Amino acid sequence: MTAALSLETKVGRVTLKNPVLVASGTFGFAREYEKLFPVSALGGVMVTGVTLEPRAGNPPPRLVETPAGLLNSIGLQNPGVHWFIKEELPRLRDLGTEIIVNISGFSLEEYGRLAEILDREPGLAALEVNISCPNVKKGGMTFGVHPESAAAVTRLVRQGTSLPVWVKLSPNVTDIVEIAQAVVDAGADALSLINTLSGIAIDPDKRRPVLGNVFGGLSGPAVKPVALRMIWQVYQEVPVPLVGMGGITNYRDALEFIMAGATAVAVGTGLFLDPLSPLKIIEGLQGFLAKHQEETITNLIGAAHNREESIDEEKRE
Amino acid sequence: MQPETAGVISLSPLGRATDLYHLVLAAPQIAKETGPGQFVMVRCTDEQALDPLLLRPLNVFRFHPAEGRIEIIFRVVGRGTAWLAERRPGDYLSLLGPLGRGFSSLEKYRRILLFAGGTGMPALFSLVEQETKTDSSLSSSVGKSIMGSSAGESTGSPMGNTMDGPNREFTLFYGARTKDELVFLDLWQAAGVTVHPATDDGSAGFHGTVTGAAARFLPGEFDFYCACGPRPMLRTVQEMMAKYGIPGELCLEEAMACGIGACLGCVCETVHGYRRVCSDGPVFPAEEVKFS
Ligand SMILES: Cc1cc2nc3c(=O)[nH]c(=O)nc-3n(C[C@H](O)[C@H](O)[C@H](O)COP(=O)(O)OP(=O)(O)OC[C@H]3O[C@@H](n4cnc5c(N)ncnc54)[C@H](O)[C@@H]3O)c2cc1C
Ligand SMILES: Cc1cc2nc3c(=O)[nH]c(=O)nc-3n(C[C@H](O)[C@H](O)[C@H](O)COP(=O)(O)O)c2cc1C
Ligand code: FES
Repeated sequence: MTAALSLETKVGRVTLKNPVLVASGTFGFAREYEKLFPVSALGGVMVTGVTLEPRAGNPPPRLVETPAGLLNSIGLQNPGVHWFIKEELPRLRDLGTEIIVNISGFSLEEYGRLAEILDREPGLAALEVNISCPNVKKGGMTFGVHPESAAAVTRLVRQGTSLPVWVKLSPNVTDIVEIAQAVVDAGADALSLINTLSGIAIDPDKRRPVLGNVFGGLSGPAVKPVALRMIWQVYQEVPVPLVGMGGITNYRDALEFIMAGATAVAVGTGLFLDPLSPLKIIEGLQGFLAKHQEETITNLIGAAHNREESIDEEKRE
Repeated sequence: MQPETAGVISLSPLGRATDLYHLVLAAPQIAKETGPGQFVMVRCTDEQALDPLLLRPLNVFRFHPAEGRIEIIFRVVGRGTAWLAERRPGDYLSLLGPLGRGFSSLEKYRRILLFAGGTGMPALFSLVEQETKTDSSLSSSVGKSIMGSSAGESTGSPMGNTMDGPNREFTLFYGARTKDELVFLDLWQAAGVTVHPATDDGSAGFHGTVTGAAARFLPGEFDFYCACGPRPMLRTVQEMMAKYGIPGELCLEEAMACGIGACLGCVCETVHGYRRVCSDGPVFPAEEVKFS
């Protein structure tokens, strides 16, 4: 007589049927992967980053493979928030999974506007605020690298919406904890981490950078240790639910993130080596719970930390 | 389109002096769904390994729905294709496919020019095999209805009174680095295609590029063209054919991650803005593609 094993998890106010999401920018608006597997099996979908105005994105080439990694410079190509609401959202609402909308702005005002516009839309679980965008007014430095600007973005989004606000942290910072603390103080309900690590690749034959945009963002298994380290540090210092991502390709990777302190995880680049990997991860987690006689996945959150050092479980919800 | 585990039926090097391989796979589902110019993504990595990370896009050279087989020709250029070249019959491969928008139907056209450069050849062969199959397997009444639908648009060509369908003529300009890399010429000839080879080293056919080889046959009476090959070749073909006012389609390549249209990583520039090579293409109307 064992109780049903539960993969259910709660990122603040948002209840997920399981902790496996798909990461923003790698899953589009679910149109394509929908043809490959039942998206309703996922804990949630973090849709591709939307901006206030449509964006063409960066010039090609936009992709370079690196050792166990992927460098991309998509440049937030998207049809803009109004198109998104009209043409994509109605279908997304019916997918049978939680929809988290990733938003990006090039000024503080844009973030605020996006939050207000999306606040009126039913059927959204949360907003994920991508603070890795260049701040056009401040000469292109990204909002996410300074505690002040990261907090300012968060505050405006917080004011603009009653939806849960998840702030997606950039790993391209000296002190991730400082930024995490600043955005939580400014009203973030949860944090997602990590976004991609800034990098470049050079073609020695052409003596030129490979990417049309020169700079790209590194993702995939190559970044996993960095992502885990950041989850670990933030978990120890900042009492807020974490959504972990960065190089997850199988259920054991997912467990590492959860045991480092993530309440949920997202698969991004992992989709590209196996489009069914999120489903396999869900299955693998189920198997792990059964094998170790754990009733719920939430028991494993932060399990790798010394219990005396970690903060109270209650505080994290 | 779906993931499919494919069995390796055979894998053979093509010729002595080349790095080209011919791969035959049992992939019933993909074989059933593939059309000319479509491709598959192939995982070229040991099980459990994470490097090389991404699947490799490869065009389908021939597809045999009844036998549940597909054929691929690939060149070893790096780690993924080197790994692939070491597979043995009985091994299994993870595939995703068929992918992309392939070539349009050629039923409206009678004289068709083909430009193939290196490993651009397989995509064009899939087209010709499909088109010539259709000709011979269609009953004459279907043949008539095809002509009926195209008669209004045809430019006075006397094909309205043939019984055997449009009776298309294919002329192929096929470029490679050297003679040994001009592969499966027998298949092209068996399909009734007039083949004009060109080699960089002059070891067979025209000494130079496919566009150089084609120049003396142009403008000719051609209605349409299809081209697949390296970027510089496609660009020259596009320019040349635009000059003669002949419409056509180009089959492009770009680095890919998802292969299905989700990540927006594989875009090329077109007159309509950026388009995904993996899902809006890889075949595009030639006049829409912008080479920067
Ligand atoms: C839609 C599509 C269809 C394709 N069809 C075929 C096909 O039928 N047969 C075939 O042989 N190839 C085909 N290709 C190209 C093939 O995908 C690449 O050659 C392959 O991905 C290289 O993988 P690799 O790991 O061996 O090389 P990598 O290790 O990734 O690269 C090794 C070196 O080769 C270069 N390289 C990478 N891709 C290409 C390329 N496309 N052309 C030339 N150099 C390249 C890299 O820049 C690098 O210097 C196709 C590509 C696309 C996008
Ligand atoms: C092709 C691609 C596009 C991405 N687009 C976005 C985006 O629009 N917004 C965002 O916040 N993160 C974006 N990311 C980052 C991912 O969501 C994720 O944070 C990162 O890739 C690390 O996870 P992974 O290693 O599992 O891919 C993108 C990543 C990739 C590979
Ligand atoms: S490879 Fe992802 S959109 Fe084409």
